[in-house]
Amino acid sequence: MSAPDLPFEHAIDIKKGWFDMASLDYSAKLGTVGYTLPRGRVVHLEHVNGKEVFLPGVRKTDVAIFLLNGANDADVSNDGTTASGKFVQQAISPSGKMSGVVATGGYEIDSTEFDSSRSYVAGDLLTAPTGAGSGAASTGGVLTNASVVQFVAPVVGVVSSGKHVNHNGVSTLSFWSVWLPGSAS
Amino acid sequence: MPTQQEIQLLNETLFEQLDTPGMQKQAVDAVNDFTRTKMREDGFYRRIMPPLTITNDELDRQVDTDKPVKVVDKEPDSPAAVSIPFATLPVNFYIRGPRYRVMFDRIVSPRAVKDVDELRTYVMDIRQVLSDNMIKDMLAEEDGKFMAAINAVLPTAGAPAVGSGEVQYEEIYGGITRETLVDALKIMPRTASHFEVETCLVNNLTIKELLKFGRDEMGGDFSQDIIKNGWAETNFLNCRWIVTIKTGLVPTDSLFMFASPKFIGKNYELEPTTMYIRREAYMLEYFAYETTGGSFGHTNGLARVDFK
Repeated sequence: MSAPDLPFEHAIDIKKGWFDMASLDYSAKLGTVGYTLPRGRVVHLEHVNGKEVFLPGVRKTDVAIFLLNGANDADVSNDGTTASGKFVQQAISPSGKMSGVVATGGYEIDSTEFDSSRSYVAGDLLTAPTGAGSGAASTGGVLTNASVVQFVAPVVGVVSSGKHVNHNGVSTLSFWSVWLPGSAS
Repeated sequence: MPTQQEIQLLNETLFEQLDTPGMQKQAVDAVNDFTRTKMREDGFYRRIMPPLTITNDELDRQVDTDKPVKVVDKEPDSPAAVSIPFATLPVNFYIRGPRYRVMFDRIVSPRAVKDVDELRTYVMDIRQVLSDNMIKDMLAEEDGKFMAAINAVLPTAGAPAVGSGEVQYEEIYGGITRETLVDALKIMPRTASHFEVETCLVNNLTIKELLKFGRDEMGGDFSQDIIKNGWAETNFLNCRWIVTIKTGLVPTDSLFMFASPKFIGKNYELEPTTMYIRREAYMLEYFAYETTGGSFGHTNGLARVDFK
């Protein structure tokens, strides 16, 4: 049996700007991703085979979406088979839809999903690299201030109070959601 | 069917309740009663797997999530009995009961806004104005999820079904005739579980093929009745027939067959369809939502035929 995951190990806390009925959020199913995408990761919306899906990270002019649900959350998916492929059940619900808040909304977010090896100061621009293969499990959609150049890399946020350890003992990064498109080409 | 005067009275009462502080709950209750009745009547998922109300006490707490989950037991398999000579002992087996988890999510309609003064001009039932499209949207989502799960279990004609490993999705050539229909009904009982078909689901175009049945195929006056009056029969071939207009979900010339819901899985309703209505000054906002969870625990009770 795999070790249980605590609900706050991977998560975003939205310190300001959510929840009210006018909050800007968005829901879609996850595209093909070779790892379990946790809560808090940054995704963008993409059309694959005519359907809207979320994929990790942002490219070019993608608008960032900060995931409120992880791919394994009980209201997102219900695995139908065991690790060896034996049938357990076929879920009618949940349907696989995940939701997140859109970076163009006005939020201050505290996220566990950032590159904790780096230093951050207020005003640093943040981006989140793409990566859907299994090799990108620790970087796909993870916030970083590395090599963020305005109008080249898409910006998804600006650091506010920065890196700290939250009340759950988890290292988090506080930032304001901002969307600044990267190069379109 | 209420008369025009009754509708007028209902509308005035609803407006009065929405207008009077402390009375808004009655207005919301009136719309909710109406909405829930319509939800029960119109969706095919709900008719094939009637929702079971589940309360907080019946939910199963999980270590890794605070979201609602229900654990359902499956009947354990056991080795077959064997004939043995005297002075021989039986083999041992340890009973291990498999289980599955039913997870929940929410279905929500878009949030509508309307100036109450514009509602005053409606002569039709206001409850209907408020809820009709939302009910259709919610049912379309429910039925869509149900069909997506069926299609996941029965992905391709001639291929083994997920879970059972037996072919439960076939193509039958020869159109829709008495013979091909009876052949279709053999698919499910042929599986290891030997379930009988209890419910058939077709679309409103497929069912018209049955109108072509002659007296020799349909039998006597029944043939005459349906050619005169159209299809009104819900029990046919010892099955309950559900006809849907959702041709996008149930393709034409396809027949979906279901065993009794107790053999298929669970459809839990944690929060029944509820209409949220809020009036702020003269602006009314409203949307519907519900929380449900469902899974197929046993796939032998599902079958599909495409008539060619």
